[in-house]
Amino acid sequence: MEDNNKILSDILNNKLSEDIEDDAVQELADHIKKCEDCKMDVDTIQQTIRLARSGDFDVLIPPNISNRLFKVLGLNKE
Amino acid sequence: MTNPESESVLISKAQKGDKKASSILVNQYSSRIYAVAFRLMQNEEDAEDVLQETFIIMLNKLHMFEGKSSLYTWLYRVATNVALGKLRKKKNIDDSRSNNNIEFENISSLEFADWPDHLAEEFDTEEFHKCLQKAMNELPDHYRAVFILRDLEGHSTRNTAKILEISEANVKVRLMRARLYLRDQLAYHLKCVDRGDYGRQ
Repeated sequence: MEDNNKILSDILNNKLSEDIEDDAVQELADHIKKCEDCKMDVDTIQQTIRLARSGDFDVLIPPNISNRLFKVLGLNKE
Repeated sequence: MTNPESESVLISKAQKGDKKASSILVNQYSSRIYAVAFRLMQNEEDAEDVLQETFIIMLNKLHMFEGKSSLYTWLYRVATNVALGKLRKKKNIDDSRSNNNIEFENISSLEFADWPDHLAEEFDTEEFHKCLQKAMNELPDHYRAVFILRDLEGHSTRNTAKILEISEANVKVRLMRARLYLRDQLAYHLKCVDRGDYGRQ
């Protein structure tokens, strides 16, 4: 990727985080259509996030841990 | 989630020592605090320690809570700090001086490779998920915390910054580096699979 695209790549990360304004997103979307490097950059990062989420699981507090918490705190479980 | 009015009433009662109100608050948030503790600590025992310490701090310091942020954000901040402190202690290393961080300072978005389409089925394999988990474990704690809060738990940049007590710019930089590191590790794994030398990496 060319040097001047590094800045764009940083901006793209903000796009993925929805931290930039809509009009800037449109400009980027137009650029991505033309730039294979940026498209690949965005696609693979999005894929990474998706895979991390899919591999993640709902962590539920085990009942014994919850019970011990209330005991340690000296509270009754409501 | 509790609406702000009822939560503020509960907090006010708990601040005056009302045990029932405290119980309701603990019950309300313990699952989510345990989840973030587990994701950061990676095991049940340490996650339980973080959980207990967080709520002990809540009960002891609730009188100091001024409501500038939501109780949820405040508890997340406490839990994250407790967890990161434990992780630092465990590694007996100052995270800011670790070699890992030096490596991470050098991560740029300049080096990456496309993921071959014909390896898409690899995404569902156990090896691939192990590779992702390993890469997540390799992230320095402060980077992993940002990735977990932003990309897995869905907190906004602003909220993540508040929780971790860092600037929003810092959240963005850490998030970008964490994502790039994970992406590059997965790309490397795929490259090895493509070359047929997985297992020697």
